[in-house]
Order: sequence, then C-alpha cells, then structure tokens
Amino acid sequence: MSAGTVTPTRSSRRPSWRTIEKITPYALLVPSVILIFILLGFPLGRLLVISFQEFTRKQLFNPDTVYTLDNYTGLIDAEFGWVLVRTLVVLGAMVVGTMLLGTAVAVLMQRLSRAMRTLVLVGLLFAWATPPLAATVVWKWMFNSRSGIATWLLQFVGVDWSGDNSVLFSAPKVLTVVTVVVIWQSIPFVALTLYAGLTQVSKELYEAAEMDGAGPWRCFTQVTVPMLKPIFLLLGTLSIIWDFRVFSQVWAFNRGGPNNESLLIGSYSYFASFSQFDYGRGSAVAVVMVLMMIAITAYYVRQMVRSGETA
Amino acid sequence: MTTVAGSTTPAPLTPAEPGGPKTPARVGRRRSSTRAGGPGRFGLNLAAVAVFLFSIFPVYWMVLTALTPNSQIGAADDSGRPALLPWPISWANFETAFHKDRFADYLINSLVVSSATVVLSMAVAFLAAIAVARFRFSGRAVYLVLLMVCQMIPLEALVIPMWLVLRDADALDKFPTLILMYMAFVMPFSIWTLRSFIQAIPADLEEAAMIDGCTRMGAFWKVLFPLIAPGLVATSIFAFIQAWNEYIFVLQLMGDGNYTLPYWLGSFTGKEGTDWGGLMAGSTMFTIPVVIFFMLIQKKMTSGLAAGAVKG
Repeated sequence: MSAGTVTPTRSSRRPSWRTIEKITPYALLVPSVILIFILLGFPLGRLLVISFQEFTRKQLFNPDTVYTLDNYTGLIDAEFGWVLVRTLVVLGAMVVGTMLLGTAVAVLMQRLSRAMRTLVLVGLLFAWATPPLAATVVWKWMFNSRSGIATWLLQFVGVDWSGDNSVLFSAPKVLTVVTVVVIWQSIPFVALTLYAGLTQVSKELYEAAEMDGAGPWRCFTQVTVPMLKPIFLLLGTLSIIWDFRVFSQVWAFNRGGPNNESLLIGSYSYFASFSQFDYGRGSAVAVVMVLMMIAITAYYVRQMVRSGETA
Repeated sequence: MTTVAGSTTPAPLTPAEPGGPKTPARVGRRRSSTRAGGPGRFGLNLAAVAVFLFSIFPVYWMVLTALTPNSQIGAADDSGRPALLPWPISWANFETAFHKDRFADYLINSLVVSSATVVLSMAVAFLAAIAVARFRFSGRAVYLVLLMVCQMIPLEALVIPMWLVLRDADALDKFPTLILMYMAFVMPFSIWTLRSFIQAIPADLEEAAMIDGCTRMGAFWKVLFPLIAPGLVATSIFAFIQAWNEYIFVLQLMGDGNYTLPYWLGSFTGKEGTDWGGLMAGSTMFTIPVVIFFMLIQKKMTSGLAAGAVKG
C-alpha cells in the first residue's frame, strides 16, 4: 500500500477521511484497554475462579480443579455478618461526615477574606498530602495510652482512654479513630473541589436570591446545591467507593484488632487470605465487595455517565 | 441554571430597571460585604482557625515528636500534658532514620518506580482521555463505566491472583512488574481527570486551527497540548503520589532488594516495641516530598475536576 500511494494520496484522502475519523477514538483507546484487561481483568478473572475453589496454602502449588460454592455459603456466618454491619455503619459515618464537613468548609472558604482563606488552604493541603500510612501512624501515636496528646485532651474533658481503657483494647474506639482519620484526610479534596465549583457559580445568582429576601440558608439550598449537583454527585460517588475500600488505615492502625473486631470488609478479605491462609474465602469476600459497591453506586454512576453524554 | 430559575427569575429584572445594568451588581457586592462584617466576620475567622488547627495539628505533632530527643518523648509537665513545643531540638531521630535499614536504596527504588509509573501511565492515559473527551463514538459510555468499575476493585484482594499470575510468568520480585501493576491502579483515575481537563478547553480552538489548515494531529499538538500541559503535570504528580504511597504490593510481591520506602517505615516497629521518635522522623521524611508536590498541583487538580463536573 505504501509504495503506490505517493500520487493518489491527495485525491484518495477525502473519502477515507471519514473512516479515519471513525477509527481514531478506538485506536486511541486500544493501549489503555489492553492494559486494563491484562493488569486488572486477568487477575480479576483468576480471583473469581479462586473464589469457587478450595484454596489454601496447599493449593498455591497444587491447584485444585474441583469447583465448589463453599466459600460463598461459608460467608453466611456471624463473623462475616458483623463485618458487613460494621462496614456499612462506618461507611455511612465516613461519607456523611466527609460530605457535610467538606461542604461546610467550602462554604466557609467562599466567605473568608483572602488571607484567612489561604490559612485554611494551607491546613487542608497538609491533611490531604500526608500519606495514609504516615497519617495513620501519627494518629495512633496521638492516641497512645501513655503519652498521646489526644489521650491527654480526652482526659482533660473527662474521658479516660489511658492505660486499660486504651484505644487499642476496644474495637469501637479503634473504628472511631479510623473514621476520624479518614474524614480528616478526605475533607480537603471535597472542600477544595466544591470551593473551586463555587467560584464558577455566577455571583448574580446569589445577588438575585438575596434581592428576593433569601437568607444564607436559602441561598445555599436554592442556589448552591442545584448549581453544584453534578459535583456533589461525583464527590459522593468517589467518597463511597474510596471509603468502602478503605484498607491502609484499618490495617496500619491495629491490624483489625482487638480480636479482629475492627476489621472492615476490605481488611477482612486481606485478613482471611493472609492471616488465615484461606485464599478462597478471601477471594469470595472480595467478589461480594465489588458486587456490593456496584449495587450501591449503580444509580450515581448512571446519572454521572448520562450527564457526561449530554454535555 | 434552569433549576434555580423557578425561584429567582423575576429578581434580576426588578432592580435592573431603574438603575441600569451596572447598579445591581454594585449593590449586591456591598451587601455581601456588610453581611460578612462585624460579629459575623469574627465567627467566620474563628471557624477558619479551627479548621486550620484541626487539619494541621497531626502533621505538627509528627514533626514535633521527630524533633524531640528520645529520652524526652512522652515526658509530661506537672499537669500531665505532653510538651507542645520541641525544646531542646534534637536531630537524633532523623539520624537514626537515615541509617535505618537500607534507606538510600529504598529511596532510589521509590523514585524510580514512581517516576516510571507516571511517565508510562500518562502516555497511555492522555491518548484515552482525548478519545473520550473529544470524540463521540459508540461504546463511549461503556468505557466510562469500565473506568469507574476499575476504581471499585479492591487491590488488596488482587494480591493472591496477581501472585499466582506473576509466579507462572516468572515475574515475581522484578521492578517492571511493580511498575506495570501500579499503572493498573493509577491509569483509570488519571484518564478520568485528564478527560475533565481536556473538556474544560473549548473544542472551537482546535476546529479553528483545522480550518486554518492544521491536520487533526497538528491541532492536538500545537493547540490542545500546550493548553493541557498544566493539567497533565497536575495529574502526573497526583499519580506519582499514589505510586509513592502504595505498600501492600511491595510487601507481598517484591523481595529484599526491591522494597520501597513504605517498607522502610515498617522497620521502626520491632519485636521490642515501636521507636516512636524514629518512626515520626521517618514519616516526616516520607511525607515532605508529597506535601511539596501537593502545594504545586492542588489548584489545578481541584479546579480541573470541578470544571469537568460542571460541564459534565
């Protein structure tokens, strides 16, 4: 083809231009699709297979060919039931906390003077940038039973978390602190994204609302919320996905202790695989987790993609 | 815009009639500044300071502990309050951290892995982002959903299947493996963000260039690319940080020579307890590059996402 194209290029280009236009987007997507399928699709398929097999350390080297539903039926027990309950409660607290506080900070930033806004911004950046691993370690140190500053602060207001009442001896306390750590690190992204969105909302809308006698609250519900709905949708969906998957904070804080009672679904899957060496069960948990996440976010993802299509 | 119209449509008209188009804007501005003045302003500033303190305190505490000599860590004053200022300052913990394990090797590993991940995944993500932002084609929605689903996969759960796949391919404990795996989780979000950045730039610009005789490729490189460069840098740094922070894959799939810095952070907790001073010094060293990068990108990152979201 290349040999004979020298002269007819110009004339033959016109008719083929449309075909090129049609093929281009697919050609651009090819590398990413191949990578996604090899790097994620392939292991994901393997994960699915393992979840239908008895798979312990023995099978790592001598794979079974027998398929069974045992890993899934085995999940109908009290242990996993509690993992689910904890996960949903903690997820709710994290997402609601992050969205409410993030929105509050964004609205606050909108009303501050430039200097004060920079101050808030610098603080948020530090919380955001701290690697989750380092953040978890620092919070754990702040809640240290003997010399943690947070422990001292709690003591000051009359709550005793020292010695035998240490955070590390109680799953609810561990999960509370983990929730605070996650919210602390998630606020900046939500607040700054919303703030960036707020600066794009035309000032005239607020002025108009004020002329109509709307107070700050009505301005917020009647102007801010509807205008920023797409951003709220995006941030809410991402928060649910990220917080549902939360792993580092739980694992680095106390490895799911005490008595594995602070394990959430993500860390539980890891725990079943790497502490109990029941890779089949761990994989089944992971599959359930992905399905739950898809179910929870299906509506939002559809909305998001739809609004992306019409724009 | 349409959503608000119901309640506010008549409002802009009423004041505009007597005063002309400029007056209402000025009135409005004066109003909003009085609203925020006086005691209200004090409350807002107080809230701002509270947000600042809450956000920055753990980081401050980390650095403070790192600068405290080991014998002083955990020491309290008469009321039992831990000291709030580092005095006397000691660099001993940082010295410990520098010589702990194989810091220099792991630092180089971290830098190499993270940089390679960024360069490779940005090249691939940029192409894909152009496709979804600038073309309408069947299968586009499916691809977008695929990207979202990619973010839902719990990577910790992929360790075992990945280990099996890599063992069969004889690719365990090798650097390129780690880089490829990081691409897997860095890429989907990068495509998503880059798409927002590209969408925020009007397509008219490229069309104008094409009318002026540019090819489509030429229009991309000469018009779109320079405009998108800041967004590309921001996304790159964000990707770098994600790779920098990852530790489960390193722990499970790499060996002694190929560990990265998060592994080194784990070495401060031993059988005889945790060296809190050293650990905080290590965490500080691990955190500083990330904070600097974040300072550089944050504005681009959030405004890019918001722009993309407002427009869809």
